[in-house]
Amino acid sequence: MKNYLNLNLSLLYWVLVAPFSGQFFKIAPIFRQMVFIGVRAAPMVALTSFSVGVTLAMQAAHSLQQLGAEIYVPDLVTVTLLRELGPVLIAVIVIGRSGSAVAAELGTMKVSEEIEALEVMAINPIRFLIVPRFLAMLVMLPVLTILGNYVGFFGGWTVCHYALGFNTAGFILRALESATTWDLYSGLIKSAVFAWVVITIACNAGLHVDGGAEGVGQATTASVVYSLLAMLVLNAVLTGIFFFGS
Amino acid sequence: MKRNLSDYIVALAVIACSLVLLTALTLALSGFQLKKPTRTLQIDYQDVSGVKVHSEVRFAGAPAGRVIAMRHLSTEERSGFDNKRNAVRVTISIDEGIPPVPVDTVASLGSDTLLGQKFIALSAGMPDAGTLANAAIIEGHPAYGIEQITQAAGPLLDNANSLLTKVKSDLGELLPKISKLTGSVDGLAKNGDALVGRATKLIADNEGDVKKDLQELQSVMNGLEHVLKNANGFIGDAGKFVGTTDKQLQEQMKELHVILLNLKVVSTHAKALTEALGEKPNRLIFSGKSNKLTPETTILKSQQPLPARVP
Repeated sequence: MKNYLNLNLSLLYWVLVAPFSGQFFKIAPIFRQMVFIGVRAAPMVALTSFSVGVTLAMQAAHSLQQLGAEIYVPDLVTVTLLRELGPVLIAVIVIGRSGSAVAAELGTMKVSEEIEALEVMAINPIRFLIVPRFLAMLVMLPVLTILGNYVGFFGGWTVCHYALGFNTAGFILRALESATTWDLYSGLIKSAVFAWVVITIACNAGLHVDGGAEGVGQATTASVVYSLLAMLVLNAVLTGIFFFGS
Repeated sequence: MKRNLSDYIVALAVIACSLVLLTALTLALSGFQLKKPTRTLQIDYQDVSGVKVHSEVRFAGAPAGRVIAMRHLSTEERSGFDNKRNAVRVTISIDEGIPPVPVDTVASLGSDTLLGQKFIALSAGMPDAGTLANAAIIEGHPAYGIEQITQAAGPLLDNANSLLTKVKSDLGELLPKISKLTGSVDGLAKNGDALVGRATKLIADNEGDVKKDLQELQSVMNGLEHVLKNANGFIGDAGKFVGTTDKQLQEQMKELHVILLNLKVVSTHAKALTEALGEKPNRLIFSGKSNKLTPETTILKSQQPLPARVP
């Protein structure tokens, strides 16, 4: 826990304070990490979001049709995706794919003493390794969430259009009528918070690997488990804050 | 360097696309319209529960536009209106292709079902009533949903309350009358009671005679019952006797019938004998050719006397 807090403080320093004292971080590694963490995860995110949108619409239609209220299926799909399922499921995908990869990569570097080598060369490993991953995750997880929301709507539209007979304009109007701008931004806020937690846990696990390859494996597993737990607990806390605060 | 460049391009393109998508979603959810509506209508309502920006507008039941804005009326605005209860102004856009809205159109809040989404319902009005100007302000009528039905029950309950109060006051007048009536009924009951007493006394006075008469009646009844029993026995015996006698009589009648049949034959043949004796007695003495007599079966079948000899 102490290591985790130290890592967060270091990150805040290198991101918020250091640039103003002339210690800029490099841009190129950030974009490389963006491609690795975000762009390459896009197909998985799209497939997951589409299947979630389809499933959500079918489940909602099954129950709402009994009440003669299938008109509300777009409402349910939109609000659920924007507020909850979009940020949470995409964070789960990113934890499984990118978080574990970051932990394993850093762990391997730690085991092979590359990080010590950087320190020997007076290169701060936080600045050189962690900040690009942190910023890339902070940007790309909300970006993936936006993409996932659109693809999820498309999945909901597929069911509504082909199974329930909605026309496209009707679906879009219903979806827009039910959701508000705050629904969208609350989901994006959650997504940004998840990004912070996921990448810091993954980096912390990778930077503090003990032992050899076995330690890397354990660190990767711990990174995924703790990220998932922290993400789900934070989701509940944020939902509570938005619920009681609004 | 090439790899760095491609990373830049891809990442920036993805970020740019997501920003475009985010902007589009934000604008769509906030109700922003690129193309300003050509025709609008403002409707003042007392209560717009269930209606929000983007809510549907229907003209004569068919989709005709959307709610584009809603705002509360200021105190100054409300005090300037005829109907000071109106508190919210809803601005609606009317789609192109929808005919001009008549002046006498009625704007109300509707929903397809009690649970359904609310929409602004514009009635068709009359075509010759003139048309509303663009951005005209009209007064809206409240919805008749479950809340309004519940609210409407309020005056009904007030009426029921006043009715109960009136009943209570009327009851105050009615109760002395009922008390007086009860007094009269009480007197009547007393008279009835005296009558019943007298009837009871009368019955008690005549109870001995009635009992005596009843006992005599009982003994007479017993005697009659005894007579009836004896008569039944006699009738039974007589029946038995008649039955026995009838049987014997029938047997004797049968015998008599046989005798009569024999007598019928004998008398017929006796007639021949008598004739023979009367005409030629010497035949009996000297014999001769015998006469052929009528057969017995023919005599028995015949219903009339037959000649003794066969002709």
